[in-house]
Amino acid sequence: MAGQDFSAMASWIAAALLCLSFIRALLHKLGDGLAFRADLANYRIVPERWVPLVAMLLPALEGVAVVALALPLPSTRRVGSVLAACLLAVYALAIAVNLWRGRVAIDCGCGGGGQGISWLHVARNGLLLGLCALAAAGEAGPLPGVASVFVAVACVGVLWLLLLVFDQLLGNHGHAVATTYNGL
Amino acid sequence: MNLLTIAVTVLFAAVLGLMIVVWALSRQIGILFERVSPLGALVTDAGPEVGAAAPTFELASIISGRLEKIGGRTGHSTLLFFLSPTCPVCKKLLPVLRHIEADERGWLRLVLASDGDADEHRRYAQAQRLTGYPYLLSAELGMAFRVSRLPFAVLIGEDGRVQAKGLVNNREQIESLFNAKELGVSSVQQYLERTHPSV
Repeated sequence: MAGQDFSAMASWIAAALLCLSFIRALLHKLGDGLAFRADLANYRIVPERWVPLVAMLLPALEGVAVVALALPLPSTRRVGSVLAACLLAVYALAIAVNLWRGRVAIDCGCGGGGQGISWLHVARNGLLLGLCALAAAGEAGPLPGVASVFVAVACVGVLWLLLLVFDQLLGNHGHAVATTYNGL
Repeated sequence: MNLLTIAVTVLFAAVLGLMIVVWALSRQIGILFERVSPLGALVTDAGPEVGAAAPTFELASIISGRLEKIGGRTGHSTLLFFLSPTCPVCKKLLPVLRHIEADERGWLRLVLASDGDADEHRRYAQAQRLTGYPYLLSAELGMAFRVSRLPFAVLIGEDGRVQAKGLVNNREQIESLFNAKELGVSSVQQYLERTHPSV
Protein backbone atom coordinates (compact mmCIF):
# COMPACT_ATOMS: atom_id res chain seq x y z
CA MET A 1 0.00 0.00 0.00
CA ALA A 2 1.39 3.36 -1.01
CA GLY A 3 2.16 5.97 1.63
CA GLN A 4 -0.34 8.39 0.13
CA ASP A 5 -3.14 5.82 0.30
CA PHE A 6 -2.27 5.19 3.92
CA SER A 7 -2.41 8.86 4.86
CA ALA A 8 -5.69 9.21 2.95
CA MET A 9 -7.17 6.31 4.87
CA ALA A 10 -5.84 7.60 8.20
CA SER A 11 -7.39 10.98 7.41
CA TRP A 12 -10.75 9.39 6.61
CA ILE A 13 -10.74 7.26 9.74
CA ALA A 14 -9.72 10.19 11.96
CA ALA A 15 -12.33 12.49 10.41
CA ALA A 16 -15.06 9.88 10.85
CA LEU A 17 -14.13 9.30 14.51
CA LEU A 18 -14.08 13.05 15.20
CA CYS A 19 -17.47 13.43 13.50
CA LEU A 20 -18.96 10.65 15.62
CA SER A 21 -17.52 12.12 18.87
CA PHE A 22 -18.80 15.60 18.11
CA ILE A 23 -22.23 14.32 17.04
CA ARG A 24 -22.43 12.47 20.36
CA ALA A 25 -21.35 15.57 22.30
CA LEU A 26 -23.80 17.69 20.31
CA LEU A 27 -26.74 15.35 21.01
CA HIS A 28 -25.81 15.44 24.69
CA LYS A 29 -25.77 19.26 24.72
CA LEU A 30 -28.98 19.69 22.72
CA GLY A 31 -30.73 16.88 24.62
CA ASP A 32 -30.59 18.81 27.86
CA GLY A 33 -29.79 22.44 27.18
CA LEU A 34 -30.45 23.56 30.75
CA ALA A 35 -28.11 20.96 32.20
CA PHE A 36 -25.41 21.96 29.74
CA ARG A 37 -25.82 25.59 30.73
CA ALA A 38 -25.46 24.62 34.39
CA ASP A 39 -22.39 22.50 33.58
CA LEU A 40 -20.85 25.39 31.65
CA ALA A 41 -21.53 27.82 34.49
CA ASN A 42 -19.98 25.37 36.93
CA TYR A 43 -16.68 25.50 35.07
CA ARG A 44 -16.48 29.14 36.23
CA ILE A 45 -14.50 30.19 33.18
CA VAL A 46 -17.17 32.17 31.36
CA PRO A 47 -18.71 35.15 33.22
CA GLU A 48 -22.22 34.28 34.45
CA ARG A 49 -24.06 36.63 32.08
CA TRP A 50 -22.26 35.29 29.00
CA VAL A 51 -23.12 31.69 29.81
CA PRO A 52 -26.38 31.54 27.74
CA LEU A 53 -24.58 33.01 24.72
CA VAL A 54 -21.59 30.65 24.97
CA ALA A 55 -23.95 27.72 25.60
CA MET A 56 -25.47 28.42 22.18
CA LEU A 57 -22.19 29.24 20.47
CA LEU A 58 -20.36 26.01 21.40
CA PRO A 59 -22.94 23.58 19.91
CA ALA A 60 -23.11 25.75 16.77
CA LEU A 61 -19.32 25.57 16.35
CA GLU A 62 -19.41 21.82 16.96
CA GLY A 63 -22.09 21.47 14.27
CA VAL A 64 -19.94 23.42 11.80
CA ALA A 65 -16.94 21.21 12.63
CA VAL A 66 -19.00 18.03 12.04
CA VAL A 67 -20.24 19.20 8.63
CA ALA A 68 -16.80 20.44 7.55
CA LEU A 69 -15.14 17.17 8.59
CA ALA A 70 -17.77 15.01 6.89
CA LEU A 71 -17.48 16.69 3.47
CA PRO A 72 -14.94 14.86 1.24
CA LEU A 73 -13.15 18.10 0.25
CA PRO A 74 -9.55 18.83 1.35
CA SER A 75 -10.23 22.48 2.18
CA THR A 76 -13.28 21.92 4.38
CA ARG A 77 -11.68 18.97 6.13
CA ARG A 78 -8.70 21.11 7.04
CA VAL A 79 -11.00 23.86 8.34
CA GLY A 80 -13.05 21.26 10.24
CA SER A 81 -9.91 19.74 11.77
CA VAL A 82 -8.59 23.11 12.94
CA LEU A 83 -11.98 24.08 14.38
CA ALA A 84 -12.34 20.71 16.13
CA ALA A 85 -8.78 21.02 17.48
CA CYS A 86 -9.50 24.52 18.84
CA LEU A 87 -12.69 23.32 20.56
CA LEU A 88 -10.95 20.27 22.06
CA ALA A 89 -8.00 22.38 23.24
CA VAL A 90 -10.34 24.90 24.90
CA TYR A 91 -12.30 22.11 26.61
CA ALA A 92 -9.10 20.42 27.79
CA LEU A 93 -7.83 23.74 29.14
CA ALA A 94 -11.13 24.43 30.92
CA ILE A 95 -10.99 20.98 32.54
CA ALA A 96 -7.31 21.41 33.46
CA VAL A 97 -7.93 24.85 35.03
CA ASN A 98 -10.68 23.38 37.22
CA LEU A 99 -8.48 20.43 38.17
CA TRP A 100 -5.81 22.90 39.26
CA ARG A 101 -8.40 24.81 41.22
CA GLY A 102 -9.30 21.54 42.89
CA ARG A 103 -12.89 21.65 41.63
CA VAL A 104 -13.08 18.01 40.61
CA ALA A 105 -16.74 17.45 41.47
CA ILE A 106 -18.18 19.34 38.49
CA ASP A 107 -19.89 17.55 35.62
CA CYS A 108 -17.81 17.23 32.47
CA GLY A 109 -20.75 18.04 30.19
CA CYS A 110 -18.94 16.34 27.31
CA GLY A 111 -21.44 13.64 26.40
CA GLY A 112 -21.44 10.50 28.51
CA GLY A 113 -19.26 10.05 31.54
CA GLY A 114 -20.76 12.62 33.90
CA GLN A 115 -19.96 12.99 37.58
CA GLY A 116 -16.62 14.59 38.14
CA ILE A 117 -13.63 15.45 36.01
CA SER A 118 -10.13 13.99 36.08
CA TRP A 119 -6.86 14.14 34.18
CA LEU A 120 -8.19 11.22 32.12
CA HIS A 121 -10.66 13.68 30.59
CA VAL A 122 -7.74 15.88 29.56
CA ALA A 123 -5.92 12.82 28.16
CA ARG A 124 -9.03 11.89 26.20
CA ASN A 125 -9.07 15.33 24.58
CA GLY A 126 -5.35 15.00 23.87
CA LEU A 127 -6.09 11.77 22.01
CA LEU A 128 -8.82 13.45 19.98
CA LEU A 129 -6.40 16.32 19.22
CA GLY A 130 -4.07 13.71 17.69
CA LEU A 131 -6.97 12.60 15.50
CA CYS A 132 -7.42 16.22 14.36
CA ALA A 133 -3.77 16.28 13.21
CA LEU A 134 -4.25 12.99 11.32
CA ALA A 135 -7.45 14.24 9.69
CA ALA A 136 -5.81 17.49 8.58
CA ALA A 137 -2.61 15.83 7.32
CA GLY A 138 -4.07 13.31 4.86
CA GLU A 139 -5.84 13.52 1.52
CA ALA A 140 -9.58 14.05 1.60
CA GLY A 141 -10.18 12.43 -1.82
CA PRO A 142 -12.08 9.18 -2.39
CA LEU A 143 -10.55 5.94 -1.13
CA PRO A 144 -9.13 3.62 -3.78
CA GLY A 145 -11.12 0.42 -4.17
CA VAL A 146 -13.81 -1.46 -2.27
CA ALA A 147 -11.30 -3.26 -0.04
CA SER A 148 -9.90 -0.01 1.39
CA VAL A 149 -13.42 1.28 2.07
CA PHE A 150 -14.17 -1.95 3.90
CA VAL A 151 -10.99 -1.66 5.98
CA ALA A 152 -11.70 2.00 6.77
CA VAL A 153 -15.26 1.24 7.90
CA ALA A 154 -14.09 -1.70 10.01
CA CYS A 155 -11.34 0.43 11.60
CA VAL A 156 -13.81 3.22 12.39
CA GLY A 157 -16.20 0.68 13.93
CA VAL A 158 -13.56 -0.86 16.18
CA LEU A 159 -11.94 2.44 17.23
CA TRP A 160 -15.31 4.11 17.86
CA LEU A 161 -16.31 1.26 20.15
CA LEU A 162 -12.95 1.63 21.88
CA LEU A 163 -13.68 5.32 22.49
CA LEU A 164 -17.16 4.46 23.81
CA VAL A 165 -15.66 1.90 26.19
CA PHE A 166 -13.11 4.47 27.40
CA ASP A 167 -15.85 7.05 28.02
CA GLN A 168 -18.01 4.48 29.78
CA LEU A 169 -15.18 3.41 32.07
CA LEU A 170 -14.43 7.08 32.74
CA GLY A 171 -18.07 7.53 33.79
CA ASN A 172 -17.97 4.38 35.92
CA HIS A 173 -14.82 5.66 37.59
CA GLY A 174 -16.65 8.90 38.42
CA HIS A 175 -19.51 6.90 39.93
CA ALA A 176 -17.08 4.78 41.92
CA VAL A 177 -15.36 7.88 43.29
CA ALA A 178 -18.68 9.62 44.05
CA THR A 179 -20.03 6.65 46.02
CA THR A 180 -16.86 6.10 48.04
CA TYR A 181 -17.69 6.04 51.71
CA ASN A 182 -14.97 8.00 53.42
CA GLY A 183 -16.14 7.07 56.90
CA LEU A 184 -16.26 10.57 58.33
CA MET B 1 -9.77 -14.29 -2.03
CA ASN B 2 -6.49 -15.29 -0.46
CA LEU B 3 -5.96 -16.67 2.99
CA LEU B 4 -4.79 -13.35 4.44
CA THR B 5 -7.98 -11.54 3.42
CA ILE B 6 -10.11 -14.22 5.05
CA ALA B 7 -8.02 -14.11 8.21
CA VAL B 8 -8.18 -10.32 8.46
CA THR B 9 -11.94 -10.28 7.81
CA VAL B 10 -12.63 -12.90 10.45
CA LEU B 11 -10.34 -11.14 12.95
CA PHE B 12 -12.00 -7.78 12.31
CA ALA B 13 -15.39 -9.36 12.89
CA ALA B 14 -14.13 -11.01 16.07
CA VAL B 15 -12.56 -7.80 17.43
CA LEU B 16 -15.71 -5.85 16.59
CA GLY B 17 -17.80 -8.47 18.41
CA LEU B 18 -15.51 -8.38 21.44
CA MET B 19 -15.58 -4.57 21.52
CA ILE B 20 -19.38 -4.66 21.56
CA VAL B 21 -19.28 -7.16 24.44
CA VAL B 22 -16.79 -5.03 26.42
CA TRP B 23 -18.85 -1.90 25.84
CA ALA B 24 -22.06 -3.66 26.89
CA LEU B 25 -20.38 -4.97 30.07
CA SER B 26 -18.96 -1.58 31.01
CA ARG B 27 -22.40 -0.03 30.41
CA GLN B 28 -23.97 -2.61 32.68
CA ILE B 29 -21.50 -1.67 35.42
CA GLY B 30 -22.47 1.98 34.92
CA ILE B 31 -26.18 1.11 35.12
CA LEU B 32 -25.56 -0.89 38.29
CA PHE B 33 -23.86 2.14 39.83
CA GLU B 34 -26.86 4.28 38.95
CA ARG B 35 -29.33 1.73 40.32
CA VAL B 36 -27.44 1.19 43.55
CA SER B 37 -27.21 4.85 44.49
CA PRO B 38 -30.98 5.60 44.56
CA LEU B 39 -31.52 2.89 47.20
CA GLY B 40 -31.22 5.49 49.87
CA ALA B 41 -29.41 8.50 51.10
CA LEU B 42 -25.87 7.72 52.14
CA VAL B 43 -26.06 7.77 55.91
CA THR B 44 -22.94 8.74 57.76
CA ASP B 45 -22.37 7.55 61.28
CA ALA B 46 -21.27 10.91 62.60
CA GLY B 47 -23.56 13.59 64.00
CA PRO B 48 -26.85 13.18 65.88
CA GLU B 49 -28.27 9.69 65.44
CA VAL B 50 -31.61 8.98 63.82
CA GLY B 51 -34.19 9.03 66.63
CA ALA B 52 -32.08 11.32 68.81
CA ALA B 53 -33.03 14.92 69.51
CA ALA B 54 -31.63 17.31 66.93
CA PRO B 55 -29.35 20.08 68.24
CA THR B 56 -31.39 23.26 68.67
CA PHE B 57 -30.57 26.51 66.96
CA GLU B 58 -32.24 29.84 66.52
CA LEU B 59 -30.85 31.66 63.51
CA ALA B 60 -31.96 34.59 61.36
CA SER B 61 -32.65 33.94 57.69
CA ILE B 62 -30.30 36.04 55.56
CA ILE B 63 -33.17 36.87 53.20
CA SER B 64 -36.19 37.70 55.37
CA GLY B 65 -34.23 38.37 58.57
CA ARG B 66 -36.82 36.33 60.51
CA LEU B 67 -35.63 34.05 63.27
CA GLU B 68 -35.91 30.38 62.39
CA LYS B 69 -35.96 27.62 64.97
CA ILE B 70 -34.18 24.35 64.26
CA GLY B 71 -34.79 21.41 66.58
CA GLY B 72 -37.05 21.33 69.63
CA ARG B 73 -40.86 21.19 69.41
CA THR B 74 -41.81 23.25 66.40
CA GLY B 75 -45.23 21.82 65.48
CA HIS B 76 -44.13 20.83 61.98
CA SER B 77 -41.46 18.73 60.34
CA THR B 78 -38.38 20.42 58.92
CA LEU B 79 -36.29 19.41 55.95
CA LEU B 80 -32.91 20.98 56.53
CA PHE B 81 -31.01 21.09 53.26
CA PHE B 82 -27.30 21.95 53.30
CA LEU B 83 -26.13 23.47 50.03
CA SER B 84 -23.45 25.70 48.56
CA PRO B 85 -23.31 27.95 45.48
CA THR B 86 -20.26 25.96 44.35
CA CYS B 87 -21.96 22.57 44.47
CA PRO B 88 -23.33 21.54 41.07
CA VAL B 89 -25.41 18.65 42.41
CA CYS B 90 -27.16 21.05 44.80
CA LYS B 91 -28.13 23.22 41.85
CA LYS B 92 -29.60 20.24 40.02
CA LEU B 93 -31.66 19.29 43.10
CA LEU B 94 -33.20 22.74 43.64
CA PRO B 95 -36.17 22.19 41.26
CA VAL B 96 -36.86 18.87 43.01
CA LEU B 97 -36.79 20.60 46.39
CA ARG B 98 -39.16 23.34 45.22
CA HIS B 99 -41.54 20.67 43.97
CA ILE B 100 -41.41 18.69 47.20
CA GLU B 101 -41.93 21.84 49.27
CA ALA B 102 -45.01 22.79 47.21
CA ASP B 103 -46.49 19.28 47.58
CA GLU B 104 -45.76 18.80 51.28
CA ARG B 105 -46.32 22.36 52.51
CA GLY B 106 -49.03 21.12 54.91
CA TRP B 107 -46.64 19.44 57.27
CA LEU B 108 -43.16 20.20 56.05
CA ARG B 109 -41.00 23.31 56.18
CA LEU B 110 -37.99 23.56 53.91
CA VAL B 111 -34.97 25.29 55.42
CA LEU B 112 -31.79 25.91 53.44
CA ALA B 113 -28.46 26.08 55.22
CA SER B 114 -24.89 26.88 54.31
CA ASP B 115 -22.00 28.97 55.49
CA GLY B 116 -19.73 31.63 54.05
CA ASP B 117 -20.18 35.12 52.65
CA ALA B 118 -23.76 36.40 53.10
CA ASP B 119 -23.73 38.59 49.97
CA GLU B 120 -22.67 35.70 47.75
CA HIS B 121 -25.45 33.57 49.20
CA ARG B 122 -28.02 36.35 48.72
CA ARG B 123 -27.04 36.63 45.05
CA TYR B 124 -27.24 32.85 44.70
CA ALA B 125 -30.68 32.77 46.33
CA GLN B 126 -31.87 35.51 43.95
CA ALA B 127 -30.51 33.73 40.88
CA GLN B 128 -31.91 30.34 41.90
CA ARG B 129 -35.31 31.73 43.06
CA LEU B 130 -34.82 30.61 46.65
CA THR B 131 -35.89 33.85 48.30
CA GLY B 132 -39.18 32.31 49.50
CA TYR B 133 -37.43 29.91 51.88
CA PRO B 134 -35.59 30.42 55.14
CA TYR B 135 -31.88 30.55 54.30
CA LEU B 136 -29.49 30.18 57.23
CA LEU B 137 -25.77 30.81 57.28
CA SER B 138 -24.00 29.14 60.14
CA ALA B 139 -20.85 27.06 60.28
CA GLU B 140 -21.96 25.82 63.75
CA LEU B 141 -25.15 24.36 62.27
CA GLY B 142 -23.19 22.34 59.70
CA MET B 143 -20.76 21.22 62.38
CA ALA B 144 -23.56 20.16 64.73
CA PHE B 145 -24.94 17.80 62.07
CA ARG B 146 -21.41 16.79 60.99
CA VAL B 147 -22.04 17.72 57.36
CA SER B 148 -18.92 16.63 55.52
CA ARG B 149 -20.22 16.51 51.98
CA LEU B 150 -22.91 18.33 50.04
CA PRO B 151 -25.79 18.18 49.31
CA PHE B 152 -26.76 16.90 52.74
CA ALA B 153 -30.32 16.71 54.02
CA VAL B 154 -31.75 16.17 57.51
CA LEU B 155 -35.43 15.48 58.19
CA ILE B 156 -36.43 16.66 61.67
CA GLY B 157 -39.82 15.61 63.06
CA GLU B 158 -42.40 17.73 64.89
CA ASP B 159 -40.97 16.48 68.16
CA GLY B 160 -37.51 17.77 67.29
CA ARG B 161 -36.02 14.34 66.70
CA VAL B 162 -33.90 13.46 63.68
CA GLN B 163 -36.07 11.17 61.54
CA ALA B 164 -33.72 10.64 58.60
CA LYS B 165 -30.56 12.18 57.22
CA GLY B 166 -27.90 11.60 54.66
CA LEU B 167 -25.97 12.65 51.61
CA VAL B 168 -28.53 13.10 48.83
CA ASN B 169 -27.55 13.13 45.18
CA ASN B 170 -30.90 12.72 43.45
CA ARG B 171 -34.68 12.85 43.83
CA GLU B 172 -34.90 9.20 44.89
CA GLN B 173 -32.52 9.79 47.74
CA ILE B 174 -34.48 12.80 49.01
CA GLU B 175 -37.68 10.74 48.78
CA SER B 176 -35.96 7.93 50.66
CA LEU B 177 -35.75 10.30 53.64
CA PHE B 178 -39.56 10.61 53.64
CA ASN B 179 -39.96 6.84 53.17
CA ALA B 180 -37.72 6.35 56.17
CA LYS B 181 -40.00 8.65 58.19
CA GLU B 182 -43.19 6.88 57.03
CA LEU B 183 -41.83 3.41 57.69
CA GLY B 184 -40.22 4.41 60.94
CA VAL B 185 -36.84 3.04 59.91
CA SER B 186 -33.64 4.95 59.47
CA SER B 187 -32.00 3.06 56.62
CA VAL B 188 -32.53 0.43 53.98
CA GLN B 189 -30.39 -1.94 56.00
CA GLN B 190 -32.63 -1.55 59.03
CA TYR B 191 -35.74 -2.03 56.88
CA LEU B 192 -34.36 -5.27 55.43
CA GLU B 193 -33.44 -6.54 58.89
CA ARG B 194 -36.95 -5.89 60.09
CA THR B 195 -38.81 -7.44 57.15
CA HIS B 196 -36.42 -10.32 56.44
CA PRO B 197 -34.83 -11.17 59.78
CA SER B 198 -32.90 -14.05 58.22
CA VAL B 199 -31.16 -11.88 55.61
